[in-house]
Amino acid sequence: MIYKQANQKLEQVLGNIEKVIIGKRNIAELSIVALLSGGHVLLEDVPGVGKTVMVRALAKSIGASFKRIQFTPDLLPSDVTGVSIFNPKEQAFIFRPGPIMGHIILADEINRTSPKTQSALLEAMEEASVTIDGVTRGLEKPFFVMATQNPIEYEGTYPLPEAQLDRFLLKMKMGYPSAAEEIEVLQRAQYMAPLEELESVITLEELKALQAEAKTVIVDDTIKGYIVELANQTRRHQAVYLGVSPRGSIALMKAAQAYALLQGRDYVLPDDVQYLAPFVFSHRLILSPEANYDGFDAEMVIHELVAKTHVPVKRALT
Amino acid sequence: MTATSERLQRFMHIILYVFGLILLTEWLRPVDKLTDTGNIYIFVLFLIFSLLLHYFLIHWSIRLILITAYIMLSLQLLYSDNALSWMKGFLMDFTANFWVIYDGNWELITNPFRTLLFFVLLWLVTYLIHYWVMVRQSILFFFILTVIFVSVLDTFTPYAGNMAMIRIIMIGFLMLGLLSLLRLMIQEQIAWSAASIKKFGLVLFGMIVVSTLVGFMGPKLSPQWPDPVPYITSYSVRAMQEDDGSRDKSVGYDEDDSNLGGSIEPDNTVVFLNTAPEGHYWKVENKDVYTGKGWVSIEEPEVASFSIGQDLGELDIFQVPEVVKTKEMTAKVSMKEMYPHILHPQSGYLKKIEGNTDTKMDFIYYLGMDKIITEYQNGEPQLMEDYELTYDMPSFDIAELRKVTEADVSMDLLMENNTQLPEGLSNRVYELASQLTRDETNWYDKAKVIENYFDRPEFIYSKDDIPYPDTSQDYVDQFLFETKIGYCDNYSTSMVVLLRAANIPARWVKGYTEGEKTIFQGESVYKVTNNNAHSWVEVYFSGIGWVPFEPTKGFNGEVEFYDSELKQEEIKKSEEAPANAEQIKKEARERRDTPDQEASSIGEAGEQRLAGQWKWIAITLMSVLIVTSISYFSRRKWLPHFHIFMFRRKSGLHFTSAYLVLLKQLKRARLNRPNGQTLREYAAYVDAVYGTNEMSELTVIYELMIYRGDVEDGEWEHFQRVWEGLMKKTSS
Repeated sequence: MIYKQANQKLEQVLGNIEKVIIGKRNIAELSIVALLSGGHVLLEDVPGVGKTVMVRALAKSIGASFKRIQFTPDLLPSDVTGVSIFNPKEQAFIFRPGPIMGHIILADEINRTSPKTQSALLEAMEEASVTIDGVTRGLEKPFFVMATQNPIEYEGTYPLPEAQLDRFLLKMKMGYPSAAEEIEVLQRAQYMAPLEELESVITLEELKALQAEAKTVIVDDTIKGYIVELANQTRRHQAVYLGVSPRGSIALMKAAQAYALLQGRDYVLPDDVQYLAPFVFSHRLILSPEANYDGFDAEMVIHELVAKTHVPVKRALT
Repeated sequence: MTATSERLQRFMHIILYVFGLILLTEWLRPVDKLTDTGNIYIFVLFLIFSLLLHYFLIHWSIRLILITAYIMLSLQLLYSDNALSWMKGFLMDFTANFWVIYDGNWELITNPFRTLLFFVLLWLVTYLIHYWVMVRQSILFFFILTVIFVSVLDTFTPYAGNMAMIRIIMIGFLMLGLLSLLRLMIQEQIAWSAASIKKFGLVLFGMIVVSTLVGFMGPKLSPQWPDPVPYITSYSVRAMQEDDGSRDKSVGYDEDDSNLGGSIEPDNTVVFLNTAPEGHYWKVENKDVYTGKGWVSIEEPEVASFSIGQDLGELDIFQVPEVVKTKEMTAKVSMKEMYPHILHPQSGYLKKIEGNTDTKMDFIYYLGMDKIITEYQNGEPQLMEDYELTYDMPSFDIAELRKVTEADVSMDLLMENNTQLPEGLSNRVYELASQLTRDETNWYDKAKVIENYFDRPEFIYSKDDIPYPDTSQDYVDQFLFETKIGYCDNYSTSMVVLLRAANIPARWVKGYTEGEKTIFQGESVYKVTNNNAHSWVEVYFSGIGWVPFEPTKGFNGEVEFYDSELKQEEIKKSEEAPANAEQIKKEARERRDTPDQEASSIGEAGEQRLAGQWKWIAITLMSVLIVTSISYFSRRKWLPHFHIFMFRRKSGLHFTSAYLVLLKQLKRARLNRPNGQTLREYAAYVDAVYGTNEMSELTVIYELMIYRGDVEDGEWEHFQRVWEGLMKKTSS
């Protein structure tokens, strides 16, 4: 029954977000999945489709602090992490925390900054701590980064290296709203400033409890086998140069657990795995140059694999 | 679905209906040829009309009225001028016919009623076409049926199905192709476009035309097996004769030999046991009059009578001729199957018949028939179960036999009776007889030549697949010149007829072979069963009497012959006494090819029997194959009920196994689950097809067990009904 309650709370959060973002329930859901499983999200999209509003709404709904870092080519690592400044009065270095010291971080246009600054952020994401001037400072929990990047072909970008991409749990695209949805968006923009009116529906403590709960969602051996088989398939696929790493399999399992919790279940179904696989795997694959040239993309490969791989319908004989 | 695609689909359906109609008319064409149906077009029109009604999905009540009206109208047009009086007559006819059918008097059904039934049948078939095209979208079954129907008619009736077969193949494959396109487009939700249909249709049409042309023009093998029709017709002749109740076709002693032929079944019933010191044939009687179909007895045979225990040596009729050497023997006979006749040894001269009790018993002896029966008392034959015979067994001197070259004066009556032949006997039988005996001067050698003629390899011994002669055909003529396959009756009758054609007095003898030596109640006895029933030949030699011959391939006469001129001692147990050393060698060679005993499984007769058995093995295998394949291909229908039955019998928790059975069954019902489809998606699909939510209900429970590791706990009892319901749905 505890899972039903979890589901209710998460539904409230979703409802809250939907008050300000129209027709993007799946993105909101996936963001919550990442938040629950302690991962981070990479949004690949053009500016102006509501990424910021989405993250801010999420932050407000859970009563968390929200920080935004706008990445520019001249941004330095210390602009992200914070800096120690010498205070002549006290004859001591005083630490000025950077924008990363928050719960929910929006890292906007992450591929526009130099690799040096990118890696500062990514390290912080991986370690959940930053080291400045030899002092390691832990970050607050929950810690959730939603990074956005312009599509690579835009000019003046530094593409994220594959190894770095691996740090994100999910990668997704927001996409444009449909015509009807966009009219609704205009409608709301005309009369109210909805974001300001949002109130938190759960506390940070409750969120932490939910995160702990997500870890207890049952993943049967059959499901584990299914995840591993999918990962294996990516490694064998003709169009793939580099397949999904075991870290990717772990990510898929954790995401599936969180998603099951969101659905009010305490066990993972193959349906969960299938739904999440494109979001978890697509940025972890490197396609062969030929496949790229033929117009394949990673999501197509994953959809093909999901359709092909046998879903386990019997208990494994153990 | 857009308007275009709807129009295209309708267009496809119309084409398929037209093709279905063409296939159906192929069923009607032979009706015109093979029956005295006068007007076939009225039925074709009916087919078109009925298919149209189906196509426009007219409400069933209106359809019923229209169809009935059409049938009534055509019946009236066919059978009467006046509508009103006809209607009244028809109604009476209708009820009368119902009673006729109820009583099973099929031949009394009147023509209008037959036509009505035919209409109803056609109506049903048009519904089937509609069902196969619109609902099942699969015509293979009907196509195969049509091919079988026409090929059967082509084989067994005057109907020539050559062109019909080509039409059927072309139309059938076109239908198959179009229907699979239809299924493909619906299943895969491909957008309907005239261009794609045209492309597919043209390729299909091209392929069928090319392959038909190749098949039509290409060289063809001649038939690889003999025409089965003669055998089947001969079987049906046999069946008709059996229907007459005139014959029992299992092997064994049978009074009636007037209609010989046909195959015989083995029968192991023991007829009698005997304690003869040496195995020899046992005689029941002989028959003298050959009818062209079989044997009958002479009408007024001479009779003599004697009583039990009487010394028969005193009687003239049992006198041993001087030139014949004999050996006295006694044998106890114990009958297991009771007959009024007394069995006596082949060619043996009876001396005494004794019973084991003191009862008084008289016997009647038919001289011409060489048959002994017990005298009737109060109109009932007295049956003797056990009796003891004392008799002299002869051994014939070939030198004496060779002295006989013609009949003497004392044999006038005998010549008249025993050279009788039917008037219609064909010339080729006479020609064969004279050709065979041309080089021989005496009767013995002539008889021997004829006897040996049957040892030629073209003659085959078999009890199976023996046809009856046609009504106009002679039994011997058929065997000698056409079939050359048969059993003792064929061989012995043919030899008698050939001997008589050569003007040698001969008669047809029936009885039993010596049987099988065995130990019965501590005594060494010969066991004689119905399988030992046999017929052979006797030839009359002046001064010597009747001498047995054995023409049947694979049999040994068991009578001793010796040649006093060769100064030879008795040649033990030889069927024939060779005249000189050269002949001995020659016959030894021949005998290697011929088995001594019918029972031996080696040799030609054995092979023939084996060949006969192969047919039964093949038929059995075929029927097993057919039954298996029918049940395999219809398993979707019956397996669910079987599973329901099995699961009802089991007690305990079976949810998971039952669910897996259901998955398999759904697959059989063509609800395939692609590899990557999860159970939940699949359940939704199944539910959409059957219009329920039962599959999803079951699936949620099953998921808990397999993906959550829940232990089954009473779910089966809750969901058994739901499961059974779904299983039944899959079979409908």
